[in-house]
Amino acid sequence: MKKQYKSILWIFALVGGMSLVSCEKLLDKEPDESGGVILPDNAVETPEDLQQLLNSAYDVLANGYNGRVQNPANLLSDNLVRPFNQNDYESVWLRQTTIFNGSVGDAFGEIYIAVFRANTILEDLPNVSGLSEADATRTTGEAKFIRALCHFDAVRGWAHPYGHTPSNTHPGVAIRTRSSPENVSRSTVGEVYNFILQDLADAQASLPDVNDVYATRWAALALEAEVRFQMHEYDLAYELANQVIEGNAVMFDTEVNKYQWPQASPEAYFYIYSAELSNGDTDNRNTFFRDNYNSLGGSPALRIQEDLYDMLTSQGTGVPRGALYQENNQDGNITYVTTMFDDQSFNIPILTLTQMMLIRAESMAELGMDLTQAIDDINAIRERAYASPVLNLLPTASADVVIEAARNERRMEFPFNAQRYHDLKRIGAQGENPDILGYPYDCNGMILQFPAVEGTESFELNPGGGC
Amino acid sequence: MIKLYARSILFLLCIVSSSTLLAQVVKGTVTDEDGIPMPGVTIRIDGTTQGASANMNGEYEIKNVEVGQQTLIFSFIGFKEYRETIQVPATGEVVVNHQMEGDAQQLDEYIVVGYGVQRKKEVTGSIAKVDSKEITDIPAPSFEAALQGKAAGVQVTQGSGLAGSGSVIRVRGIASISAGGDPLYVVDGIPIVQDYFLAGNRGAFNNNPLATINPNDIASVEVLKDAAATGIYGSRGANGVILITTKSGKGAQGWSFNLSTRHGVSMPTANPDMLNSSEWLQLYQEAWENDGNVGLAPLPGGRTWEQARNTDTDWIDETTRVGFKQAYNFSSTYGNKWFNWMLSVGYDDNQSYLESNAYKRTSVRNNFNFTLSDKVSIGANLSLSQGVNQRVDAAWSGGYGDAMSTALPIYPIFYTEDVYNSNGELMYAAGDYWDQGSNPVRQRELTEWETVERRMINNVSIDYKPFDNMFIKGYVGLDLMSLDDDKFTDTFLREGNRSTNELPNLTERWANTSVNYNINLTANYIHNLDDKNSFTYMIGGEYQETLLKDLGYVSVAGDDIDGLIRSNPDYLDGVDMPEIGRTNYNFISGFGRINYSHADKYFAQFTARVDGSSKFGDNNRYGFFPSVSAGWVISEEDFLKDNETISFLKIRAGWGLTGNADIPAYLPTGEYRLSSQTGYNNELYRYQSIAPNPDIQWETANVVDLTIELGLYRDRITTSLSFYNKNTTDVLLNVTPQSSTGVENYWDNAGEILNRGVEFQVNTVNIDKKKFIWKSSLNVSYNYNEIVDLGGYSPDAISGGTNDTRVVEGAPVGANYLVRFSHVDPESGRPVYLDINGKETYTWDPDNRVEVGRVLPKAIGGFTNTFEFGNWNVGLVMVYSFGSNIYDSSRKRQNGVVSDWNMTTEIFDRWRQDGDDAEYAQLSRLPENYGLPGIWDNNTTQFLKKGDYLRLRRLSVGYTFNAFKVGSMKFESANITLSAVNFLTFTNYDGLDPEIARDFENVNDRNLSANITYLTPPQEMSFNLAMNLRF
Repeated sequence: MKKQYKSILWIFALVGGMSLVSCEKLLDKEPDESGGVILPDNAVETPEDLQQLLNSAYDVLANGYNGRVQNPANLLSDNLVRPFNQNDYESVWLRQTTIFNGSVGDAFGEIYIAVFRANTILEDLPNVSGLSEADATRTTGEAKFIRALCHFDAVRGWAHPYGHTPSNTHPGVAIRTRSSPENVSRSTVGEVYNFILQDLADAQASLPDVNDVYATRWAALALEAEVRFQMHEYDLAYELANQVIEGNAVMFDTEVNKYQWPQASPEAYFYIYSAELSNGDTDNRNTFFRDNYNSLGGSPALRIQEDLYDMLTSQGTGVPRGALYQENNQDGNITYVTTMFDDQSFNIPILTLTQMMLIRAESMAELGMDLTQAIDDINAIRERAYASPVLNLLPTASADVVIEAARNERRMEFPFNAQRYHDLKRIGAQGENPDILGYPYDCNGMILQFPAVEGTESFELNPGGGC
Repeated sequence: MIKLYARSILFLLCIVSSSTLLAQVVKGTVTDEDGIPMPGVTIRIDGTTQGASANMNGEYEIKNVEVGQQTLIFSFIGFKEYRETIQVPATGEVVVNHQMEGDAQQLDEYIVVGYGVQRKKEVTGSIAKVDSKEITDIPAPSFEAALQGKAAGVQVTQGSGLAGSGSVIRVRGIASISAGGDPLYVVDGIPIVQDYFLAGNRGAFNNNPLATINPNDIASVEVLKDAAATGIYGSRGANGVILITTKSGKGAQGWSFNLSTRHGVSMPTANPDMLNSSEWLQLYQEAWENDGNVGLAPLPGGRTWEQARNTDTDWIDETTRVGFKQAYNFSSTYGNKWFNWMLSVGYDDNQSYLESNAYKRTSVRNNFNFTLSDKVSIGANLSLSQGVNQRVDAAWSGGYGDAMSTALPIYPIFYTEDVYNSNGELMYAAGDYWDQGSNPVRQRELTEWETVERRMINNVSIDYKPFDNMFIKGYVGLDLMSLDDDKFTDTFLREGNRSTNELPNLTERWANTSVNYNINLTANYIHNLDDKNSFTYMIGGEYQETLLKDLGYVSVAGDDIDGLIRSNPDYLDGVDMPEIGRTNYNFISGFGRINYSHADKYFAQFTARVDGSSKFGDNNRYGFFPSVSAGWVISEEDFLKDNETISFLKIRAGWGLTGNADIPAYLPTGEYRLSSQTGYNNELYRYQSIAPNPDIQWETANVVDLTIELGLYRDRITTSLSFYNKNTTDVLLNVTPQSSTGVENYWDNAGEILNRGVEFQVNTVNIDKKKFIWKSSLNVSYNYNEIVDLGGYSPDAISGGTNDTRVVEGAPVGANYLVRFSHVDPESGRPVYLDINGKETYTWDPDNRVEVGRVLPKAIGGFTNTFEFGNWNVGLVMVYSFGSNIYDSSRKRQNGVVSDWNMTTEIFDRWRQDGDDAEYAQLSRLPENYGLPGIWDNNTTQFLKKGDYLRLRRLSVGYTFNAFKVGSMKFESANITLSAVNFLTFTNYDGLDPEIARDFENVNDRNLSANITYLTPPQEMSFNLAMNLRF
């Protein structure tokens, strides 16, 4: 019997021991790197890794600026009629965006995923070995440019404009400087603009003048011109726009349509590129424009207002500008559509020479400067649009006339990229009270609502209830 | 029949009349199975008050017994009642000795527990056992559906009417939010891969990981409910464990064969009342005019009014049918002293009522066991099965879902004339499928879709008994699975018309595989201290590893492609599956159990398990899960031993900690991903996809269980009453942080959930006559569920997919979060909502959402009755569910803003003029007229319904043929059963079917949104004829 107890103990010790020696290492299961998965520790080690990380930020930027980001903001301008068969867009147009609006939520999400990736670049960059000084500087500049652009579109879409309160202490958006899932509180509009300007200053100091399809110093300068213009800082806007134009980095295009392919419009400082692939396909990064404006199906979701159509076709549909628009008559229901987005492939300009010219012209008029340059700028755009000087401004045009002309040209040159919405808010914030399809510039529904999860105790969502 | 009875009655009369006034003595000795004299056994003469008890030597004597034929009845608690008919002669004594047999049904019933079996009497945990007959009684796509109503505390919600769909099972409520809330399934000792989202939610259908298991192969299913029972499964036992034991040849003597067949028809339990063409046109025009328009409304799909008026397609009719079911199962067992074997082959072709939808399972199982010597035996269970699911789109994805929504009655199935485009090219020829709007027939006929799952669940074990009372077992389990989802799309569906020619036929495949194995070694020692005190010690170690491969997606297009990859493997020549992800995780565990019993009336158990897993972060790698429980069989005490009323009484109580580790694999390490194809500007890219969380761990359930079991009147009535309290902490949350983080989600152990409940079960033998037996079984379970704490997260941070269910502190898991609908204003015809303060408003605002409704029912249960009249039997299974709500999410569009959706006939009750007291608002095509920001926002309590129901789950009539001969063939038995399933439901729910398990988007959704229906196909009603032959 005693012997047996010994055996029992031995057996139990053996069986039990088997599990206790379970070696710690066996439990270190790590993602298998064969399936496109990489361990965080090895993820960003070489300059190539870092470049791929940067590409991911552009990749998501291109998924945002394919119309996803521009469309909701554009719906809040006076350019479009009630959308057809696109329920999320219909709610935006009704100035009734809610926390459930998937299209708006996705646009917001894409913007901040790009920011997140830009932040991982800035965080991982110091750990990369063998990175040249030039690449480090350029990469930093690109990350900061992306971060600035995204914060700028977030604050322009999800907050009332700069100048809405005297010290810009009205609620802005979240400022994200780290890749962390922590909640942050809502920054004021003033704080967000300061952050954007800081990033742009860094970007301008770091970016090269030429950089394939990616961000350049000119793009960062042009973006700052847009920012300053939005801040009503017309002196700086003028200086920057002028500097960018005189840098001659791009050419004034002869085409009115800026959505070109395979080459981007020659006047784009920065654009979203749809690449031709080796197998003959195209990596189209324009889905949200094409799907919502494409006139070939007969009834696109997004169609333009009659007054805009009348302005655009004041010289008929035979001139370059008018040729891009059509009137559709379905059983007596008249709609106005653009043919600009009918092609499968086109690139999307984000920052352009035409816009710099219009910023320069309007800023000069605001500043009371000599208007010769301003009038030349506007006339160049008009002659291109109408293929004749018939609507040119007189050399004696007053500042008010120039301002009105610049705004109208901006509306007609960029009817679909939300410039009109930003303009109306800018004008509203400087006290002009524009009538936006009957809504004031600063009613609740004139800004987009955040996705539900953005709201926390220290982050109050935009007030609901529409206009 | 009548003749037969008549003859029996005559026979009985004869017996009675032959009795005389003479009397004699009947005596004898009663022993137990081992021949030891049994005192106290009661011996009675049937039909009289005469009887006696055996003395200390087991002897008895009954005097004055009437001469003639008499029946003696021997009975004793815990032993089988024995009847013997004797002929009492006019002179002399009659000696009747009897050896009592223990009643396995009552005291010696064995229950499968984790890593072993236990005598039911000794069990101190809460375990519900469902046997094989009950599992095969109900034709269901997979066995778990048959557990419905059978086990207290086990909520089974059958899947929708789609073929092959699985059920949602909740054991004692729900205690998980983002980690899997389903119980752990263990098949013959291996926890199987149970991923409901292997194929995402393609076609509005979730993978059913149990579908390939042939219910006919199952010997018993044990549902382990409390910590004393599940504690041995440590970090995976918190949501209950379901042990599936397959049949074996154990106990077989020689050959035995079984053949069973089943044929049946399937139809929906309900169909929606959609508007017909003229009704729809009338209401659409009414909305158009209400919106201030004149003339005829422009119709969707480019239909002219003339065309629309001349069309009236019944899309429900076009997408449904009477489905046919057929199943064949053959099994044989063989056994001798050294060897036993079970072989089974099954084929099941289960058509649903949806046109073109069927699930076909083919399975083979081979279970055998060799006894090599007194000390060593080896066994193996091998199974191979294939499930082919012939798929159709459903719910939001099309098919029957379209028939309830976007397929308008004004749309035709076919073009009736040629259509040309503006360039004069033929776009559609007469007879082509119509393509300018939803057309589920076109979608179905131009698609071929099959999901094929192949699965092997195998194990090999060796038992070694080095000396008496010591048992060592080595076990290896292997669970292999492959899932190929093949789809073929005709060019005409892709193009939509004949004039363009860019998109040829397309064939696609999504593929997954998994390899899952476990190895364990256990040692058991039974330590009998003395006559009264006995210990059983068990110790074990286990390793389990699982590798899931997502082989990704491939597609091949071309004019020469004309079918599935499955039928044409050459389509993949030169094409590799990209293999986009591997998930590999493991568990290393040590566990032990000590059972103590004293005098067969006091029992105690202690279990403990240490689990380490690669799923847990470095800072929390090992979890310790103990349990303690005890039972007292009071009826064994002297003061109750001879009680006439109380035949069995036991109290047991247990406490323990268990865990839930059903979470993704790489949360601790985090991961980056490298793009498989080039991205922006034709360049590769990489990005962080999961942020590392070194703290992540299991969620912990702290469980207390108290149960009283009572048997009355020789166990003619047995009942059990349980109370449980389950407090789950460190609840795993897949949190959606602020959008601006750019992080879609991350995992956190936060939160606390309480489940508290009562379970009551009663089984009775109401009538026990030779020719008529009536047994009943009733169970009731009540569950209280509350989210005690959410760790500071907002309700919107943890949502249930696109469904409007949320987690809210103080509310049950998965509360509906809706704006309250008040009424339709009789003056304006507009819907009136309530704001957050209960004030009426015309405006729907998400800020006014409140927590309303319950996903989980308060009470569930079943009521089963079986009647046996001679060879006839009738079974009646009723199930019920009370206290839950259903959110009929389809209705927000069907009965909301007028659009290109069809409506249900409820919409007739709409506001038309001042003073109308209507259910629905004035019709309009503009969401603002309903106070809505958009037509999809119409989520209000108007569509939140009561989900109570009582359902006649199964009614069956069967006949059993006793042993018979056909020629020289001897048959042991045969039976034939006619059954009706789900054919009667009592409910106030005005939607389709109150029992709902919709397609889910993710785990959160499955846990939180079980009560949401969105165009979900209703349950199936079926009528079946089953035959079974044993020989």
